[in-house]
Amino acid sequence: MDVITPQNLQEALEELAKDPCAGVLAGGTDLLVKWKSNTINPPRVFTILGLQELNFIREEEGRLCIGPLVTHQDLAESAVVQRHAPLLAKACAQVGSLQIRNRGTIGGNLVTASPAGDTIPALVVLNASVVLQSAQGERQVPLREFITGPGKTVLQPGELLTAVSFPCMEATEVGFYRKLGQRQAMAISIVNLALKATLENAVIKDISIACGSVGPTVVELKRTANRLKGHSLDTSELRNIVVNAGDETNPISDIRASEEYRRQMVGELLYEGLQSLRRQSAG
Amino acid sequence: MAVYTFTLNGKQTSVEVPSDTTLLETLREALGLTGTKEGCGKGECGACTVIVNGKAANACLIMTSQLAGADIRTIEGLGSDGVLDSLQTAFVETGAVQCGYCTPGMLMSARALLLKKSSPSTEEIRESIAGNLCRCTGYAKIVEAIRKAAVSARERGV
Repeated sequence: MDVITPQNLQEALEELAKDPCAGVLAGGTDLLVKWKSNTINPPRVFTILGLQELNFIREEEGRLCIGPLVTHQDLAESAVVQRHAPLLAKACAQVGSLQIRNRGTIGGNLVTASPAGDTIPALVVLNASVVLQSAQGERQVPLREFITGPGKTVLQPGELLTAVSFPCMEATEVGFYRKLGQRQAMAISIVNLALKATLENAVIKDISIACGSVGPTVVELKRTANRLKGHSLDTSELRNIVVNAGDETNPISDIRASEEYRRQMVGELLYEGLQSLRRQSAG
Repeated sequence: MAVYTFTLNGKQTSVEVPSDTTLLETLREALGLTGTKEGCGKGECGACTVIVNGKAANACLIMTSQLAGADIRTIEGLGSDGVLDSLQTAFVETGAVQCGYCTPGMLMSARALLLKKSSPSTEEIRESIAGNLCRCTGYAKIVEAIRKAAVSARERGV
């Protein structure tokens, strides 16, 4: 495998246009693991890790724009992210180990498109979209449409993910993120769940719920979200609503957990999330 | 083959290796620095932890070609002239070493933590080594040693 180092974004896009089947290497925490196990073996990869123009966190007209090379640890520690999207900071803090978070990037997490990807449910409830750039131009794609299956995205040969952005959370919005793994560090999610809600006097006006590791791509619990709207977070009715939330998911049984356990945990994590929203609205 | 130049344990170092050589291979095979260990080779065990630009990282998942101009610190850069680093002293005195295979990685994770935070909480110490596996199950002593090293560094005012 030949590792080539473009000097700037323009050069990277031009090189990628000439050799669209080449791999793109950023933090290496997914690509190099697959390369070492012979799952992939591209003859050429472009390492973009040194491209500073892809490493930024900016607040622009009410949106948070994040470069694909920002590491999970930098996002977890970013004051801007903690203020405008605390659930994303939380999701990033739970990726792998510190060594992995120091190298692995948010762009890599999205392009890898693992069904268990930790940042994906958080970014979905934040209504994120991604910018895909090629030598010919650029397009913006909602994250919901970007990932199409396990390891599959709409990224075309020659395209590079160059930004992810989403609206900053409003003062009336509260969020929650929880990852369930076999241990607290270094674990691939058994289930992860992100919530974002608009509250008015502890009544749910609007709510988005997204879960990972319970289907081929992130699963949004739209039916459950609709049932929750209009309910107060103080009502005992919440228990009855969340109990069937797992029915909206499509998990498999694997080495980490059974299908039944995952389904049940979706409801439990959702309930925990609603309790957290209640505490946040009170405090 | 290409030549890559970076700072290694305070010294400017150039090495000629194929572009798909990992930092771990470069350290151990091209430069003869075998203190950094290979465990799983896929970023799960932390045995190969080094410090890159002030941050703990797994040397098995970094290409040497990604390190032009970087500042790298390995276990060989802890302590100097035969004098142990305060963390190494604390590991010895506390009995935080059993078979020793995870020790270089543990020490580098601990050093990265203390570079950032001179008075870490127990929780922060535990989190800093969450990506370092010890198969002898010696975590309690390791956490204790890191805490001792932090305290002794503060007392000596360094």
